[in-house]
Amino acid sequence: MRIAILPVLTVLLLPVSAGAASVQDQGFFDSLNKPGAVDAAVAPGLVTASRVDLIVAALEKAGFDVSVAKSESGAPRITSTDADRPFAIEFYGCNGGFDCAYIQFVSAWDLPKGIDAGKIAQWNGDHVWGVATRDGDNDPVLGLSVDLRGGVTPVNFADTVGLWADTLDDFKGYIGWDKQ
Amino acid sequence: MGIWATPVRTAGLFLASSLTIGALSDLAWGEGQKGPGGANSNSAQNSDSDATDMIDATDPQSIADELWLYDGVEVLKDGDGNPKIDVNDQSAPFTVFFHGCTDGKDCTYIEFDTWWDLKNGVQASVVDKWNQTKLWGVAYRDEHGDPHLSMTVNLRYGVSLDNFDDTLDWWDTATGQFEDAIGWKKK
Repeated sequence: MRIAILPVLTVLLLPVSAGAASVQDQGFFDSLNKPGAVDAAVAPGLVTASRVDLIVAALEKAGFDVSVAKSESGAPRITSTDADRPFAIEFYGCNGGFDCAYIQFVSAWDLPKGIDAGKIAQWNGDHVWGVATRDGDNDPVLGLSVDLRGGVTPVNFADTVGLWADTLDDFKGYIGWDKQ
Repeated sequence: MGIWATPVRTAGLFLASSLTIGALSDLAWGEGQKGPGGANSNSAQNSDSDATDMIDATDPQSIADELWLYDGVEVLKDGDGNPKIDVNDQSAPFTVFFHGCTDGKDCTYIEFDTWWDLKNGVQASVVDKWNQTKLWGVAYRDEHGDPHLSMTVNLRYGVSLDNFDDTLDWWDTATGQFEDAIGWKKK
């Protein structure tokens, strides 16, 4: 009954065509990091959604093991293989799979009886970070969208990764996952 | 979340259709590092911001300066002594709450929030569908069944001004689309 990543959100159902690449494979990053108009004027060193290597570096620095693949659209997709906190990062606002502008952290949990709609609504009314939804099986899904267009500082993005990790932990407790 | 401090939209008024922000603000790369050209130019009409201009949540006025297209922008304090910005624009009222503050200062992230006073509230299914399909803005209902939209943005250690301006565009877009979703423009 362990986690199932991205079972529901229609905007997130992106079949993966290429196998997950080693994050040490610079050639693979070179094939992803093709900034276009979105990144043209962004200062070097800032994190954008077309600088996938910087995103992966921040995740690894936070202690996550990740893999990177390309969806059928050509956009990157990052998956955390962390046993306790598995999640995915989907890329949006891309041009032909490159030059992406936005990302969304997302994770989902497979509960024996799903979760009550009111509990999901209460999360969204009470919590500043993360949007909670239910999938077709009434299982809970948590997402966090981040605008990276124009660039953010590496320390800002590292802080956002930490916020996502903390929100994941809070949400797991909220839905009673730790009691499973 | 301070939702009751948010200005209420009134029937018959519509959101501005475009938003082009270009004001320059204090720059901060974070953790003691300063980006180049860090002075506050206060150039509210300048749409050619430098790619290295940065902004964070430590200076509420710099955030307010970026909202120059809206009317009635006021920097105030909330009940906890933290900064907040009320945007009393008749066509697009909202509040920016500041979070992660220390003694009302050095805030780290902000939350855009607004709501609509509907005669019969909004169906939960409308709010649920929004949250399932939209990247920007979290929808929820208050105890009266009225719809709210909020969007939290992490500004700790700084983001580029171009990034923040894009975020403002998305907030503007999200509120407009949400009004369609809840049927506001049909009233």
